[in-house]
Amino acid sequence: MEVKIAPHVDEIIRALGTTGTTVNQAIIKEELTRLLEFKVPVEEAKRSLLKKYGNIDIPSVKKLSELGAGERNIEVTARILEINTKVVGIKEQERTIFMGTMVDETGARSFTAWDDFGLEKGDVVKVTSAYVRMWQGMPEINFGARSKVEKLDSSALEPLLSKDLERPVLLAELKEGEPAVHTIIRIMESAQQEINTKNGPRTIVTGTAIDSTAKLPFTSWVPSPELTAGNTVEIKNAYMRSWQGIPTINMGEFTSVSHSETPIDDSDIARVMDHVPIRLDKITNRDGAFDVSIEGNIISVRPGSGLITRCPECNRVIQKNICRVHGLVKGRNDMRIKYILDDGTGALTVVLGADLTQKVTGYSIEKAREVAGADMNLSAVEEKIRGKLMGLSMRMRGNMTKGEYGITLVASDVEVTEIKPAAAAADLIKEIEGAIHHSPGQGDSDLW
Amino acid sequence: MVEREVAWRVFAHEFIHSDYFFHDGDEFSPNYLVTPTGARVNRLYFVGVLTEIDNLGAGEDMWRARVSDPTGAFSVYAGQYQPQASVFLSGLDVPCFVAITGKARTYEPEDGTIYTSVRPEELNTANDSIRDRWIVDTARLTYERIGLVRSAMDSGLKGDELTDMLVQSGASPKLANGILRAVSHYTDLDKYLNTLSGVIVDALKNLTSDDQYPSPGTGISHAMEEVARSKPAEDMVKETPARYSIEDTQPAQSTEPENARVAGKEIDNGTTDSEPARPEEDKPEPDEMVYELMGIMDKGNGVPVTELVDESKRSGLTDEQVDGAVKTLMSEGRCYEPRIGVLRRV
Repeated sequence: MEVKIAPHVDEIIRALGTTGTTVNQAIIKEELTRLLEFKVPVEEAKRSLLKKYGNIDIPSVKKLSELGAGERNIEVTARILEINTKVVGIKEQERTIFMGTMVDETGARSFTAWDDFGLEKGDVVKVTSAYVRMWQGMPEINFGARSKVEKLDSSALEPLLSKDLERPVLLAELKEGEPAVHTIIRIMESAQQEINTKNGPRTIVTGTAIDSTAKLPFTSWVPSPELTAGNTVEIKNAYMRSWQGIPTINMGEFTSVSHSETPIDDSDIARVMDHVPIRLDKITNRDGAFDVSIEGNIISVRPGSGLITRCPECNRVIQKNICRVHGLVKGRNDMRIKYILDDGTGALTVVLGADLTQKVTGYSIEKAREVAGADMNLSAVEEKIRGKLMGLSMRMRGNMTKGEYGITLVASDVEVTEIKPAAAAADLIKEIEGAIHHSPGQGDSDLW
Repeated sequence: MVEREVAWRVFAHEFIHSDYFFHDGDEFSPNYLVTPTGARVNRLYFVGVLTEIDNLGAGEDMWRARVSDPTGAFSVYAGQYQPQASVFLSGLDVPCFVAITGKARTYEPEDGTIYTSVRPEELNTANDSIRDRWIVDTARLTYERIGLVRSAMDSGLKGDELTDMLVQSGASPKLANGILRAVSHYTDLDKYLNTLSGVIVDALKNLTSDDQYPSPGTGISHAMEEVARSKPAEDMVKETPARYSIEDTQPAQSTEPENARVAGKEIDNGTTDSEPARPEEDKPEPDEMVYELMGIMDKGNGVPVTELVDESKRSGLTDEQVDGAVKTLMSEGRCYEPRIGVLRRV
């Protein structure tokens, strides 16, 4: 493809001119042509020539959702959703910085402005020469003295999110690391807690929130009288942060907590309260889940299930009484089961501790030792458990987390589920034969 | 994080009618069998009646098993790389209920036909409650997929638009992808979906009927369907209490594969012990008569249904009784259909 080179050469000359550099047009033309012959993209070729002759860095234009750790010299265009000042001590001097949230059509991100650019809530700005730092596990846009901030006509970002952000989000939709969270929750339980920080003791509120879709833990770093069990509150500008793998709503000094006009009543939260199981394809796409109920078949009992030995010092699972940290120890017997639960739409690993292992297998640790026999044949125990469990339909509750080894739910309770196949079959026949024009997949079913 | 492949629930009928195998990417990427309802099956889980177990090949340890559900049979092959499965299968007596998690495989002989089979990963003995539950769950999920495929065909949408529509309707992204593939691959899909809907309803009716009043319309054979159609539908919805305590699910049997035994008697008990006393206890059961005849008439290749019906009528049974008896025997796993229109005792 023939690239018309002259306009690009002119552009480079002009850009270099702004820095007071003059370069021979022929040289630029020759070098640009050569780069293009090597199939370097034209934008990249221009960038490298500007860098070479004028030490000019052209910022790369990014959308907020594309930003990654350590990027520098970026340009973003976004609306200021929230901005607050904060006084910080830098090198023993007090300094006012500006922190807030900005949004574009791809998402919302926190930002810190290290200088006063006269920004106000609602402004649409083009920020150039900004950089990205990780802050609380999420990319945050930073800009300061060397950055350029240009206010744009607010129509420049139409029909942007501002509308969408007015809509509160359901708890099941909240994602790890999300800033500017707007949601309406009912407080199930809450308690004040004194914690020690490097600035001395501090009172925080922790508890559990619920809506029609899920339960989630919350932490408010600022005490608020509204966060009392039974209240329905509207929360704006909170942020999500994982705590031990579970998405947690965090409320800080810039979060607003107000009494909600529309209360969430008992019937709204009945499905969550009654632990109606959630289909696995609807839960395995979440980042984590708190006290959820799921149901499916045990389709595989994993190796390492049954009788295990733990280090008495550190609780690690050990082999042959040798702990990799504490050396030769007198191991303590314990039981657990790891199995794959699958409902035909999704799959995850479930871990049962000793109590629940006993509940579903009838084995106490002593009984398991008997099965293992004098030579401690652990695989005999595992095989027995596999024979008892593989294939069963089970329902369980617990916290779900995602990690390197996949999706795991540590069960807080488990039970074998019973249905009446004849009645369930009759219901389904009625549904199939009765609803020829009804679109399935949306029908309410007692199975799920 | 590598996401674990879901174990799809598909009936044998759909599994053996699937002939679209694909894999994306390099040789290490997973293979998928796309079924007519768009299930993208790498792994599957099913519960059925083990009706045959053969050791193939001299010297080489390869076991072939047939596991039947109310709609057809899965072929299961376990070879040297599935030693546990081989040991387990070789220790079982047919017939018995088994639960199997495995990988979908295909075999394509030169004539262009494609045979689907299962390579087992994990197996266990099961019971009628587990099997009945599997039928209900599989019927529910298959019915949902049928609805989604139908809406895909009716929508006139393609590509990303169709994917979006399906996801909006509740399909997972994987299922949506499978449905797109199924719709473009399978010809006469509408007709097959109708057949499959009928197969599902028949499988479910097996669960709602008791031994004496089998429901009409089971697709045992064309001959049988004719008989069944002439009979008024009987709405015999009768609850079998689910027997689901852990101890019950392993009826007095060791779980070591080499000792695994499920007596045929137990299966009988499993389907009858929850019923009230039968009114005609002292007369010979039509079920047992047909079962006897099926054994006597079998010269090694099974018995054609038409001959079985004629012979049974000569012994004083009505069409309805024969029809009912065969369905009962099928659902109890005591007989199966090796070919269309032919029955055989297991």
